[in-house]
Amino acid sequence: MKKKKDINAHITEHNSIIKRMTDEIKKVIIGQDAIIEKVLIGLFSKGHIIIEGMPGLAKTLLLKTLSQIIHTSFNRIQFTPDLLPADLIGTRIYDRRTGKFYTRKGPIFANLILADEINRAPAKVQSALLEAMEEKQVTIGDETFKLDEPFMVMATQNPIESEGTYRLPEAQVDRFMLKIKIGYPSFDDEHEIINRMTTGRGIKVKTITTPDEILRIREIVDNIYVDELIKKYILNIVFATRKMGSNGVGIEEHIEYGASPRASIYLTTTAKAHAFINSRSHVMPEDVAATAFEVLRHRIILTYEAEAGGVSTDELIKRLFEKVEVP
Amino acid sequence: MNIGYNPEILVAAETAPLLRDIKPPKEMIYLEWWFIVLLILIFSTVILFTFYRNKSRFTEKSEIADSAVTEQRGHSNELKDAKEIQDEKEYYRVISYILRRHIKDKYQINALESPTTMIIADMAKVDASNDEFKIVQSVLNTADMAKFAGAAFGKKERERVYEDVGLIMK
Repeated sequence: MKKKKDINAHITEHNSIIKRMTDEIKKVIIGQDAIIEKVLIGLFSKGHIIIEGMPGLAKTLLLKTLSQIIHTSFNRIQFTPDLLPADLIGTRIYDRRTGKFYTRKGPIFANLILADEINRAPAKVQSALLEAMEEKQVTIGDETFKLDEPFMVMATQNPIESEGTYRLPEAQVDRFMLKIKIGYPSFDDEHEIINRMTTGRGIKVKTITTPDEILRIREIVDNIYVDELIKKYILNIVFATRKMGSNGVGIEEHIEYGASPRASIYLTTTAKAHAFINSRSHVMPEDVAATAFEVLRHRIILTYEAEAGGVSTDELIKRLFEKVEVP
Repeated sequence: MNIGYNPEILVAAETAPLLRDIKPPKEMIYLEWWFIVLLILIFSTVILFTFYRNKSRFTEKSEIADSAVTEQRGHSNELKDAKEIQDEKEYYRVISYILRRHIKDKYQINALESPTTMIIADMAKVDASNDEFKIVQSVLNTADMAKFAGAAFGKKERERVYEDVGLIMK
C-alpha cells in the first residue's frame, strides 16, 4: 500500500514534466499529437520505434526536438546501399605515432538515434543496428562498449519506394516495439505549419528534463500495477492472432503467422507507459487498446490471399478488438 | 382467271347473317361447374395459406417476446446471485459484466468488447436518459477501480452499485 502511495506521488510529480515536454514538442511538430504520445510511450517503455511515412513529415525534426527537450545526444544516420557496419558502430584505427590501435566510436553512440530509411542499407548493416538495439552494447574489435541510457532508435521507412531497398526480415522488424504510421497533416494544421516555419527565425525549444529524469520515469513505469485480468486480456488478444491458439474471432483465415510473445510483453509495457502518461498507477483495458495497432501491426503476417485481397493488418486488429471481451 | 358460277359461294352469301350465332366448340367453354369449383378451391387454399402464415409469424413473435422475458428474468437472477459473491473484485467483475451485457442488448453498443471510456462515449450518442447515463458511468468506473486497481470500496458502495444496476435493468 505504501509503495502504491509512493507511485501515485511520483506520477503526480512527473506528470507536469510530461505535459511540458508535450507542449514543447507541439511548438515544432504540428498536428501530430498522437504520434508525439506514441514516441513518448516508446521512450518511457524502453522501446525502439519504426516509423513509416512519406518524406517531409517531420520525422527527423520530431526526434531532434525530443533530444533538445531532454538535453541528450542525438545522431541521424542516413542508411544507404554502400553503408558498412563499421560506419555505424565504429572501427579500430591504427595510430602511427603511438604504434597502437585506438577505437573510433560510430554514430550509434548517442542516446537518440534516427536511422533514416533503414531499408536502404544491406542486411549486414541492418543487423548491426538491430543487434545494438537488442543488446544495448556494441563490440568493436575485442572491446565491448555499453551504450548510454536512455538509448532509443527511431528508424524510418518510406512506404512507396521499393526499388533499391532491402526489406527488413520479419524477425528483425519484431525487435521494434512500435511501428508508427505517420500521415499528412490536416488543412488547418498545414496552414499553421506554413505560419510557423516560414518566418526565417527558427523555433527554439526549451530543455525540460534530463536523461536521468527519463530513467527515473522508466522506473516508475516499471512499477505501474497490471492486474491478472489485464494480463489475461492481453493474452487473449495475442492468442487470437495465432492460428493454432485462435479463440475463433474470425480473422485466423487471413493470418499466416500471429504475433510473437514479444507482442504480449510490449502490449503490457506500453500499456503501463500509457497509464503513466494518463496519471494512473494501474493499467486499464483502454491503455492496452491505445498502442495495440502500433505493437501488433508489424507482428501479424498476412496470408498471400489476404494480401492479394487487400486486407490490411490494421483492419484485422480492429476486428480483433471488436471480438475479444474486455474483462 | 374466270371463276364463273359457283354454287358454294352462293350458299355462303345466303347464310352470312347466321354466322353471328356461331358458338364456340364445347371444349372451349370453361365456365362449367367443375371449373368454378376448382377456382373456389384454389382461392380458398390461397386464403387459408395466407392466414396460417400470418398466424405462425404471430406465434414466432410471441415466442421471441417470451424468450426475451425469460432472458431478462435470467439476468435478474444472475444479478441476485452476484449479490452473494464475497470476493470484492469478482463481485464487481460480475456486476460490470451484467451491466455491460444489458447495455449491449438495449442499445446495440459493443459494450462487452469495449473499455469503459468507449462505452460512455457510445452511450452519449444513443437515447439513454441522463440518469441512466450517469449511473452507468458511475458503476463502470467503480467496477474498473475494483477490478484493475485493486481498490476496496466496502459494503455501502457494494449495495449502492447493486441497487443502481437493479434500477437500470428494471
